[in-house]
This record gives sequence, structure tokens and C-alpha cells, in this order.
Amino acid sequence: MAPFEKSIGQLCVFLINGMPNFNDEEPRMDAKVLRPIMTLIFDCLVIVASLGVAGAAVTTTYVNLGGGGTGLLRVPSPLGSGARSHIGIFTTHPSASFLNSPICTELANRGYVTLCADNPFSFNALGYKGYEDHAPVIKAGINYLRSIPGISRIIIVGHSMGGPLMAFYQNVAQNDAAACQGVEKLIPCDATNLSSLPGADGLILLDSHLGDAVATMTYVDPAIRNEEHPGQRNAHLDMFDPRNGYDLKTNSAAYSADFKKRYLKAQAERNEDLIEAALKELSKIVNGKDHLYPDDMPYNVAGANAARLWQPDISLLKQSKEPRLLLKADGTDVMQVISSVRLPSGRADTAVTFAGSDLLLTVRRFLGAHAVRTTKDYNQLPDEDYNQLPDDITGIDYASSATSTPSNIQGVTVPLLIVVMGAHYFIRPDEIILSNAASADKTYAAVEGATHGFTPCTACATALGLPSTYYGNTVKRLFDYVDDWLSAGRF
Amino acid sequence: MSAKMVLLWATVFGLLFALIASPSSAQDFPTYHQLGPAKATLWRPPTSETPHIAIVVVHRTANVLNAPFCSELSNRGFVLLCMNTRFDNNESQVIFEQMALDVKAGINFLRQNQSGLTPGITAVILLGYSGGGPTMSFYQAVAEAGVGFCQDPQKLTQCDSSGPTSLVGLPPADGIVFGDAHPGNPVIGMLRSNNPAVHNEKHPENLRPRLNPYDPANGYNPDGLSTYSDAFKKRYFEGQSDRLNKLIAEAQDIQFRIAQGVYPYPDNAPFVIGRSTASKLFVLDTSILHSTEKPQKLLKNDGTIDDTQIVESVRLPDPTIKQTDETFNGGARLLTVKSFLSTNAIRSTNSIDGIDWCSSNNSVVCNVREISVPVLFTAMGAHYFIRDTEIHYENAASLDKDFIVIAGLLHSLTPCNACPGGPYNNSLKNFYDLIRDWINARF
Repeated sequence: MAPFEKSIGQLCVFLINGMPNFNDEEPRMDAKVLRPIMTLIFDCLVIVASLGVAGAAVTTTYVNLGGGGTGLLRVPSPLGSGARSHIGIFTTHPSASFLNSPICTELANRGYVTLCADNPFSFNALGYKGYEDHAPVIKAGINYLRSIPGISRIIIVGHSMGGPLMAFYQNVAQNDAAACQGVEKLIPCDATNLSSLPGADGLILLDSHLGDAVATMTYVDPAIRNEEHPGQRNAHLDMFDPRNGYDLKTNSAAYSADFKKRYLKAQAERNEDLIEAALKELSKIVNGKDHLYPDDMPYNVAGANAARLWQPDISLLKQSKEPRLLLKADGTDVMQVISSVRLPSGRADTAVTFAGSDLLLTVRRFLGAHAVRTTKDYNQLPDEDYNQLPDDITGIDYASSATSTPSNIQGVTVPLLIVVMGAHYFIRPDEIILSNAASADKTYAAVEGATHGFTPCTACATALGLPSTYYGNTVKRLFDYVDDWLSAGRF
Repeated sequence: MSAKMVLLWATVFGLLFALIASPSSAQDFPTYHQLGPAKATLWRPPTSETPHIAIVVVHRTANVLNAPFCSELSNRGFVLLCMNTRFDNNESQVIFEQMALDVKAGINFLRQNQSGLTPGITAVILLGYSGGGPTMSFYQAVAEAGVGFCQDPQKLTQCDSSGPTSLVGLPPADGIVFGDAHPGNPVIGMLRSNNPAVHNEKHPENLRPRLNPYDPANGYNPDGLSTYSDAFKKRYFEGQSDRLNKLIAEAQDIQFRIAQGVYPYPDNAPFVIGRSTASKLFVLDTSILHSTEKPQKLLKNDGTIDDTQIVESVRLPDPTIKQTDETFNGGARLLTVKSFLSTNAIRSTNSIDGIDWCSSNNSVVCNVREISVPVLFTAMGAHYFIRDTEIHYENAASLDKDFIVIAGLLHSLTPCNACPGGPYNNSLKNFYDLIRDWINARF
């Protein structure tokens, strides 16, 4: 029993059995009357004490984090038991609003102090030149939590693209700005805001991306023949053309091996062309020659936000390479090769629109936040080629971008928890992150049937001939597992 | 055990329970509220009083959740709802007309006591500071005049009257306070800020000498106050209009080709404009837009109001905008065709006094002509919106309207210690007190 619950229980026992009588002259109450009243009071206290495990009353407070940062602090009352009460949870996302993320609400309900933050790039995915731009708000959030009396351990949590952001932050906090300024990077990070960052004591990645740049690279549409005229498409390389295997009715696809090979080769080549063009422009800017501006310049990348091969073709990136822990809907935990139950999610409708596919960037924002190289020796070392397979994605030069989770995680040594969602496509990518992690204490698990947003995929269950409710309460399963990991004594 | 003792202990337990289980019963402010795509903080006075007047603070893209107004005016007895719009942080995506939906959500939140924290609100006042001025004036104009106002075909963009972004049925506010409101992004952010010396949009680095504001031969002084001839100013202001009119034509041509299905994209397009944000001639030469035209009220540092004088701006010149103009991050705009036309475009023949005010929805002058509720216009005495605000005041249809310049305050709401005529150390307090008194006298 937690200290708080224990003390309340002792108090109740003391009051019922040995309440002192301060005035013996007063008539005593009959025990038959007294006991129900005291039982009622005791029951109330039991309810209050139990809130420390689940359903704590949570006070939510607005916090100004400065620098355009906005936070919502959630403090449960009572705080969780001893293993929880000294832990503060922080999360943000590079561009989505996370103030009401389930990370904060669910973990606060389990007894943790949580701080969810938005930053100056919330709602502006194309506005940052690298994750260094987010560092001040993360730093402010960590410092804020540390300033709360009783909070001595800070855990940062990254969900989706928040994963690479938090891996970057922790890597730089542990290894200084040099971690994102090596010669292997396409462009060194701006170290202005990266000195003396307070590190976290643990890192949790939930259905994490491999990085902003990898996300963009795998969206680069090779069907675009002319950067100035993205509407002119090469049908031979068009993943949304039914002749290549795409079904416009279901946004699903079954591509041939030949198409996959030529598509990915062309995707890597266009990606390389985009990088080389941007590097040329950067060189002009840096050298002050033929430049329009001395600091940066616009760099519009057409067709780079919708054409990802594995989204409609669910045979790709389908499963883990090794047996991993699966948190099953029936409450059991099993080790097995994990297969995604996701449904196809092709984006034919938005692939040719400006809003759905264009990245209106600058040279520095493209190179710093959205560019990563594939391996150079394409088609020469088959195992190293850029490729998308049922149980792998290969041939990415992760170290060329400071946004890459697999390279940043190599510099992170604090305890690491990775949890993937079983109805999405990060099962294998996050396994890659795990294999690169330097942490001695690292854990990987998958939540059966959970979507990228943690909720149960009812349509997935139905598609498999299962009851729509088959996957149960995936949110509870996920955060109970996170709670167990956090409260297991490692912090 | 005695009955009294049981009662005593039950009371103790009850208090303990309340303390543990309901720590939020004594609510700490500000509280945070998600109003659809908009964010909001709710502020209340520190006392236990129940205010009946609420103020909504909104900008366009800026984070005002913790703006000084929120604490200063709640400390003066009002409920404050400080809101970030759906375009928080993202200038390139702003569709100006849609922000009215966020203001509407704020007004309904307060009036309908959706949070349970704003009982008894009988009056809602809009506070538009700087870029919040166009936002609030547009909202109130549509609320009072109906969507026909914002669908006028004379305007470069129109609002929606159906679907999820329909502006039909906006609940009007009870009054508006304008704080150093600019006349609209198209005017201040583009028309008067673009460098008309650019003659090829693809090469903004090449400038025509006769229109170059940073050429000493034209009057530029890199060390202080620049002085331009009347002839240069005339061709500069006309040149700014010419450049913006050409950009509008280019954007409309793209829109036409999109509509015809002959543009690479079916929905929108990038629209990048170099040297378009910094070249305000009146920042270099403070003799331009330097004063009111008529005697107006000046709230002086000692708290008294002098209404007998032409009010002069005490602002200082800033020649460093030359460097800003040259950069991409400071001097260029990364927009789309839609956000350009909706938020940054207006027709004109001259950037100072030849503006077709009603060619944009983002125009305070056009909007205040439709507003009948009480309005207070304030301008900061150490900035350059004094004459613009006087024009807003002159155009306002409201019978109950007032215009006061706050002596020596910068646009950043700090006293200008380097400006002549100081000290201005009391001006900020005077400003907040003025707003308090103006509201309390009416609502």
C-alpha cells in the first residue's frame, strides 16, 4: 500500500476504534448509530485514497513557458504512490498542438505530474529549420517541472513526430551541440539555443517517426518530371496510377516487384536531386555570390507530402524483424513477430494538390528539417539499398539529418521505452530505433490493434472478421504499460 | 462517543475530503480553454467579485494567451478571454475571414457561460491591439451588417455564407477598444512596407535607383533621420501601389488558371514576395505620418488629457530597416495565393492617401463604417499609427466614439525613454486606467 493510502487507513482505524472522548459528561452515541456514520466516512476516504491509482482529481493550470511556449500543467490529487509522485512528464510535438494530448491526461490520471506544451511552431510544420528551434520550449518545460517541489525525475515523451524531436533534444542535452553539427550532416544545426540544455532522466517514444527528414524523403513523389510543373506526371512512376497497382476506390495498392524497385530508385534519385539543388543554393547564400538574400531563400518542394509507397500497399513495413512483446487485447503479453493490422491509407486525392503535397520551405528549412540522403551505392549493395520490404526499410543515411531518430538515439543513454501501435506502420521503424539505442535499459512493446492515435482500430477488426470491439481499450492498455514501466523503480 | 464529537470528527473529515478531493474548488486563474481550433486563457479579477463585463483579446497570428492586457485589465475588475486564433504561428496560412469564427466562439463562450466560470456576463467588449484591430473590426462589421458586407464583389476575397466557415449569424459584441490598431495587414504589412525599387519579382536584389529608399542620393541617412523630397515621396508611394497592384494581378491570374484547371495545382499556389515587409518610408523619415490633422486628445504622463493641440508622434527614426529589407527572414514573405489575397492585398493608387479601403476585408477603415456600438480608439504616442487611428475615428459610424493618443508609449507597450518630451513612466498605467474608465462609464 502506498504511504498516503496507508496513512489514511491508519487514521480511520484509529478514529473508529479509539477516538478519544473529550467530554465524558456528554451522552455517548449508541454504537449502532455510530458505526454506519463512521463506515460512510471511511468509505469516502477509501475512495479518495484509491484515486492515486486511477481517476485522480486533476488540476489543470495554464503555464506561460516564454518564447512562444504555452503549457498545461496537470497535477493529480493525490499524487500517485511513492514511485510516481516524484516524476514529472513533459511532452510537445514539432508542429501539432499537444496541450490536451492523452499522454498528459492519461498519465495525470495515473498519478503523475504532467506538462503538455505547444511551441512557436505548433500549426506551422514548415516554419522550423531544425529541432534546435524547439529546444528553448523543451528546456523551459523541463526546468519548470524541476522547479516543482517534490519532482526530482523528468521523463520526456515523444509521440509520432514528437519522437524524433525528443530524441534530438536528449542527444544534444547529453552530448552538446556537436551532436548535430558533424560533417556527416547536410547542414549543421544552429547552436544558438543549444548550450547547457537540461537533460531528462528517461525517454519514452510512442509510435515514433524515424525523423522529419525521413518522413519527407519517403513522401517525395518521383512521378513529378519537372519541378516547375508538378502537374506533369510520369505515369510509369505514378504510384496512384491504377495501371501500376493502385485502387482508387479503396486507396489500397498491390504493386509489382518491378514497380516497387523502379519507384524507390526514382524516389531516391529525385530526393538526391532536391538535396543537391538546395546545397547549391546554400553555397551561394553562404559565399555571397549570385544570391537573392544574404541569409536564406525560398525553396518550394512540390509533391513531397503524399506519395509514400507503404501507405496503400500494406504488405510493406508490415511486421517486426524479431519477436517482440505484444500487449494483446485479451490482457496477455506474448513475445512474437508482430504484424500490423492496419488498413491501406493511400492519398491519391491529395497527392496532386498544393495543400496536400507541396512543401513551401526555404533552403535552410529544407536541408535542416526535411532532407536526408539515401545510401549512395544504390543497386550495388543489395542489403544496403534504399528499399521498403515487409519487415524492413533500408538504405537510409540517417546520420545525414539531425532529425533522424536512429542516429540521435545513439547518443541517448537514459532509460528508454518504445511502444508502437499495432494498427499503424511504425512497428519495424521503431525496432530500428531500438537497435540503435545506446541505453542499457531499453524496452520495446506493441499495443495490439491500436491506431497511431492510441485508440482501437475498430475498422481493422471488422476487416479481419472480428468484432469491432475486439481490440478493447487500447488507450488503457498503453498507458497502464507506460505506468508500470515508469513506476517499476528505475527512476 | 458523544454526538457532538461525531459531528466534530465528521466535519474534520469533510474538510479533509474537500481538501484532498477537490483541490480546484478554489479555481486558479488563468484557466485554459480549447475553443475549437482556437486556444484561450480565461482571467478573472483577484477579488471575489463577479464581474458583468468581459473583454475578448485576439490578434491574428500572435500568441496573446499571456498578453499584458490579460492581467492588467483583469486586475482592474474585468473578465478577460485572451485567444489565439486558428492561425496561431502561421502567417502563410491565414485566411483572414475565417478568424471571425474564433471571435464568435469566444463571445459565445463568455455569454453562454460554457465553462461555468463566467456567470452573469452582460456585456462583451472586443479589444483589438495592433493586428487585432483589423480582426475585431471585421468581426463586428459582419456581425452588424451581415455577410453581404464581406461578400461585396468589390473586395479581393469574399467570406463564406454556407458550410463550416460560414459567417452568417455572428453575435455582435457590445463595444470595441482599439489599441494602436493598424489599418490592416494589406496596408501596413504590404502596401506601405514593400520596396518599390524592386522591378523583377524573381530578382528582388536588383533595385531601381530612382525608387531606392536606401540610396543617400534620394535622402537616406544611415545614421539617423532621413529626409526625402516631396517628389521622391510621391513617386515612392505611387511606386508601392504599382508594385502591389501588379502582385495582385499576378495572384489573380494564378487563381484564374487554377479555376480553369490549367495550373499545376487545383487548389492553391506558393506566392513569395521579396523585400516586402520592411521598407516603410515613414520609419526612415518621421515627418511622414507624424501627427493628427486636427486637435485631438492626448493622455499625458501626469494623467491629464489635453485636447487643444495637434498631436505629434515623438517616435525616432530607424535606419536599420535597410538591413532587414535585404534579408529573407526579415524582409520577405512566404505566402500562398490565397493568404496573399485574403490577408495582404488591397488596391490603391498611392500607399498613403490613395487607398481603396473597401477592396479588402482586412481594412479597419472600411469595417468601422459598419459599426454602431461604442468604440474607443487609442494610439501610441511614440509610434506611427496616430494619423491612421484618427482616420479610423473619423470613419467610425458609432455615435459613441472617442479617440485618445497615449503620450510616449511605444507600440510594444513600453515607455519610449529616448523619445523627446518625456518622461513617460506613467503612460502605461494611464493607458490601462483609461480603458477601465471608458468601459465602466458605458457598460
